[in-house]
Amino acid sequence: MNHLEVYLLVGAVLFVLGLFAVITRKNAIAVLMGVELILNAANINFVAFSRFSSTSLDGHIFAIFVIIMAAAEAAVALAIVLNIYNNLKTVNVDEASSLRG
Amino acid sequence: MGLLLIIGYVMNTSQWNTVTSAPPAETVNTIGELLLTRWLLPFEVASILLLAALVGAAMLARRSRGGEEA
Repeated sequence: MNHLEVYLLVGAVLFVLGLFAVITRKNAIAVLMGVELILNAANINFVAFSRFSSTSLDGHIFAIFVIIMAAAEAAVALAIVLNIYNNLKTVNVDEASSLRG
Repeated sequence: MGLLLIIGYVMNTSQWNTVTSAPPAETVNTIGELLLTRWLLPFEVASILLLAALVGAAMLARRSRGGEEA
């Protein structure tokens, strides 16, 4: 169980589930959760490649920066969703399509 | 599902050049040292990014709930 392919498989499953959530969900919060799944799949790939194909820890550092970026993205995106709900009374991404200022 | 099959096929048929090395005994010490020496500038940029995201999110969330003047 200590092969690179095992970790890559977990990352691929997470990525496909996240992409599925981003594509099919109508709730904006669920779409954001799918984005987080995709970012975590990328993190698993970073750490796995860093562990199995080099001796440095650069993949770990980069995973930490991806986590930081995910935190900032979640904060801004949740504020935007809050604004959308206040203005349009919906969090459905299909209904929130008007761009009137 | 199809995408997962494609990823799995590529994953299994490609040759990864892996090195077999023993896992390091402890990585937290090394990561902390790297963050404050070699990756110091990205670390600071990330702190600025977090601060900007915090301020931006607070402004976005406050303006809508308060008065309608802005």
